[in-house]
Amino acid sequence: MENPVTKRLLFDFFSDKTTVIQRTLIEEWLSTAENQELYYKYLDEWESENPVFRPDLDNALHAYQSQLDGANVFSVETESDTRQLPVWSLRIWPRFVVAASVLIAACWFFQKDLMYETLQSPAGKTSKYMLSDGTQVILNANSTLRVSRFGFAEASREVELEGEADFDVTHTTDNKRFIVKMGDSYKIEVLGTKFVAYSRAARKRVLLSQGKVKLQLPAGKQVYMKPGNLFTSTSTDTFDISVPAKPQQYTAWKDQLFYFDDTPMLEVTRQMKERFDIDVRIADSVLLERHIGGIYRAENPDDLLEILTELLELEVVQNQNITELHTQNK
Amino acid sequence: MSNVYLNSLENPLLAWDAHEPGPSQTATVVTDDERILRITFQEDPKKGCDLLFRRYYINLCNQAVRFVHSKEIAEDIVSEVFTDFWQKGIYEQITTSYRAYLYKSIRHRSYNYLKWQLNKTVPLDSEGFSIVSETLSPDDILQYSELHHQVELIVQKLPPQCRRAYILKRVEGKKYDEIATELGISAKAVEALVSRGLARLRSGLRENRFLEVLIFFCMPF
Repeated sequence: MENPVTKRLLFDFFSDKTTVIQRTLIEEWLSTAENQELYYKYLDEWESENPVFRPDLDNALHAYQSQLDGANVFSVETESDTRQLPVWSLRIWPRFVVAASVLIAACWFFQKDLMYETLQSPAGKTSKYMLSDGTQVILNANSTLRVSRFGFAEASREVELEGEADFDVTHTTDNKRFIVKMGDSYKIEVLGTKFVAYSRAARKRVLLSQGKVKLQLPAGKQVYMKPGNLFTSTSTDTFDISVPAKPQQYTAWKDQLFYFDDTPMLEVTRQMKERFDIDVRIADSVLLERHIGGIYRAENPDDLLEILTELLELEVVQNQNITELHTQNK
Repeated sequence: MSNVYLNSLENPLLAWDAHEPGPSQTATVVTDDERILRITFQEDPKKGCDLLFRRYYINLCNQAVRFVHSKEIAEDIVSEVFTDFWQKGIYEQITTSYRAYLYKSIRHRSYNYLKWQLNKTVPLDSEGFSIVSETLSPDDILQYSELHHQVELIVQKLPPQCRRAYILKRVEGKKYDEIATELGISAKAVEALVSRGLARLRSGLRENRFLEVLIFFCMPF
């Protein structure tokens, strides 16, 4: 027979019902390009006849169509400096040149403002944001998150963090990475996870509560984190991964709480500066040596100062912009 | 074909017929599809992508799920291929039929995912692989189908309880505690069953020559 490979035989093969000898037959038959085309055609027919599940076409199509519409502008922009310009865009070429050159010129002047949308949380307040990909962010007080404006959901999802934030990253349908840049040399890369990141000049910190995280460190190093892990690094770029016994202390800020556990007063003042942007000074060396513990709710600096004065029998003296703490004289 | 997922779905074949009024796909219709698609792409690529998506999305998802055993992941993989098709202008570069390109990409990506699932140290990154210029040997073409047969076989051979937990978790995408109440066991036990299923899959596929060969060639370094 001229053509021993029939549609029937291929269907049998797709259903795992062929013998080894039949397989060699198909293999030989596949050596021509036309037959390879035929193979995929029959594979498609076979899939039509043997469905395993029924995906939601309407929803998916809707998402794809908005991509087609949204990506219209986007792909023209990125295509500007590559050689392969799609044929169909020739018609809008002149308009595009004008728009692009204005855009490029503007970019030089306002690079950061233009490229990034800035989300901020003032002193003493946490703010919640939902990004366009569905990711939820809680920004701690005194923190800034920059989100790239262009193609945030389409290309890579990149944000820059200064301060502290809690991330609940959605896993996109197309497995797009979510990247948090912390300073110049630290980067967090995830697909969909929950974590708290802290990035200030003196220290970087990441606490992972769910999923998996890849960290890019200075000098090209990488580490992977597991849920429950705490990553800390210092300004000298030495780092450590541990499993904290009390992870709440790193997430307490989300509930306007201060979490002290044998915490020295100096650290308490540092945290107040960070959260409320107030300068607290302790001159008394005995007082500086004291450590305190406990979880306290404080929505403003006065709340915490009140708690501290009662706890340690202190006196608060406001001296211009500086708050001084003294031990009460009896 | 006996199928492990059938018992967990409410008779998909009936649902299929009820919701799919269009003509049955005979050989001639399929050939015409390609020609119509090509003409549409020449006139308006956006419309072409739209049409292509309507025509192949469901079938491609079905192909992908045979490898990855998760409806959600399968849909993700297919959407990703269509996104690239539009955004990277692949429709202008392909030399084969749209259909052949789509099936090749879906199979390759599903395969990559499976590989990543079994060995998570290999990065999940198929971007560097240009399927447009890729010609597959006849043997490779067949190996893809054989790979999902093997996946199927391994899952079918799992002990019943283990198989049910695996399917509910991976195929249905349910949460551990939901499966726990459904099977009347603890969530911890479900987790153990699912990971046992994955371990079986891992050890069962370890001897697969195709996986090894491709892992070797696709290593990014």
